[in-house]
Amino acid sequence: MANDSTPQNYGSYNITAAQLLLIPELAPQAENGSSVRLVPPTLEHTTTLPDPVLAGGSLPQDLETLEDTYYPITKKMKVSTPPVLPPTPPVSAVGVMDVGQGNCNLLIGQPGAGGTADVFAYYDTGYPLWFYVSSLPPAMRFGGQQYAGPIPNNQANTLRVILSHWDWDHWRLGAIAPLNNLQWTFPNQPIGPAAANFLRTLANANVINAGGPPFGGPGNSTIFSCVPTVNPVPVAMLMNNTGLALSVPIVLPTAEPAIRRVVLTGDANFNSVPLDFGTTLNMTGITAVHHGSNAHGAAQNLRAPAVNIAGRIAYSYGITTNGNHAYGFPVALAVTAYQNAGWTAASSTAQGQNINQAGLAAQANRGNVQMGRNVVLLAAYNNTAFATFPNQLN
Amino acid sequence: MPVVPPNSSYEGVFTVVSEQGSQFEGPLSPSNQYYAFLSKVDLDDTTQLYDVMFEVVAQEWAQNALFSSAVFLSAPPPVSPALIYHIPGIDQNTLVNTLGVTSIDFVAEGSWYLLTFEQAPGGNNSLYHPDIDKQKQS
Repeated sequence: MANDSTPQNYGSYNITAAQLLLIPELAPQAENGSSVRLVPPTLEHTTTLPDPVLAGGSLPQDLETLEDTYYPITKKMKVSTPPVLPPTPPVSAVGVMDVGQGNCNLLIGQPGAGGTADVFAYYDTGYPLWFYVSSLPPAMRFGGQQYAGPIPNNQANTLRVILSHWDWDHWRLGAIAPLNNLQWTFPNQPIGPAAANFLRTLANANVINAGGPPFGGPGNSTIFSCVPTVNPVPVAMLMNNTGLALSVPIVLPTAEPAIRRVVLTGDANFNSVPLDFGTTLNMTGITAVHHGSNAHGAAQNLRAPAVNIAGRIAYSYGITTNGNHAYGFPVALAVTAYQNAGWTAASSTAQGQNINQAGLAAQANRGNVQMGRNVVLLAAYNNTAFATFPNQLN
Repeated sequence: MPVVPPNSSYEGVFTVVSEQGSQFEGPLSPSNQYYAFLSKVDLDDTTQLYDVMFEVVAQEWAQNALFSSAVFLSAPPPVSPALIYHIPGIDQNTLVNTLGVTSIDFVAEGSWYLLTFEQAPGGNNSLYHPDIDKQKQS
């Protein structure tokens, strides 16, 4: 059996024994919102408690170390106050980038004198699990002959990353490309050892607690700290619903002069995002929650688009080379729920407007989706996978 | 205030801590036991199967580099020989029984488990290095 650190597949294994050691819970903080903490399980959760916990003793040091260590910020460290950002131009469009089964959105500025626009922020930098890398377009499949990769930085070297939450298919491109030299803003959530290894490579980071007050993001956007509003909170929905969401002011539809809002939530349900009144009334564009999932209320409690406007919705999901939708996304019931809520102008990264249609022909229009103005990016990015937008939601 | 990147003395402490586990720096566990962070759980509505992914470290490495440190610091963990354990399709009952939880409601991303593995040649559940996705594609 090989036992070195060369990246490889070590083969197939089954689980023969399992013991739940720690389970997440939402813990209010005296200041700066809430946080997801890890606590020992009870007999409500598991049939086999760790012995010291069963005996009613204190947490063994092993668990205490796990409980306190695998966070971006531990209990004894302070989370960041929100960063103060330099002024950036209004957003002309939001890119929903084709990264296969994952999420990666891009905030695009106003076109300059040459008629082309620069970019200034990512919201998520996702990449599929290894099992689903065949869902990537060739230009994004690292190590492939056609790999071009994402935009590594903008012209002013101020490109930043806002991470919705610590989910592999939302952060992994940061390690692949890599994008760890950019400034990152992310939520304080429990992380695993692979994510922790990546986290340690970030040169410039801000960490935000769940449920804190909203703060200003790039392009006059507003960043919301998500927190579940259902009581009691199902533990299985905590990680997806304690991250960061983004509300971006934008002219959409472009046929009208009014500035509206595109709301990006990553995998968080809409009722976990404490949206302000102005956003709620003016939403005209969204991304489908959790790639079009229907689990844990992802397609429920949807907000309606602004009055008399067909809502624009972009789905980010991946189809593998054998034709399978990774995780079955988007779920048909979820697609119907969005339509019923008024989000009727839809496009997707995997199939363009042919969402959930069968066959290879339905994938002919796969590619990046642009919500807002149909703007051309600077020629400097022509050699990247993010240069063009075959799908438009204007 | 931004998080300050670790300074040299901070890194030095973790270098020492990491070296305590150097004899176990290989990613595979001699005992087949792993501390496992439940990183992703997704239900495929079309198959009614769950797709489950853990980020794991060998029990021996954790004991030596993480838990047995003479210096306990409330700080981010040292660089670890992490692996990924991926179950691409498992039904609800089997998943609940395998993990020893009382309900699917408690199969929660963010949880930590102690897992024991056995090799299952030809099976679907893979143990692999996370950076396998950085390898040259055929």
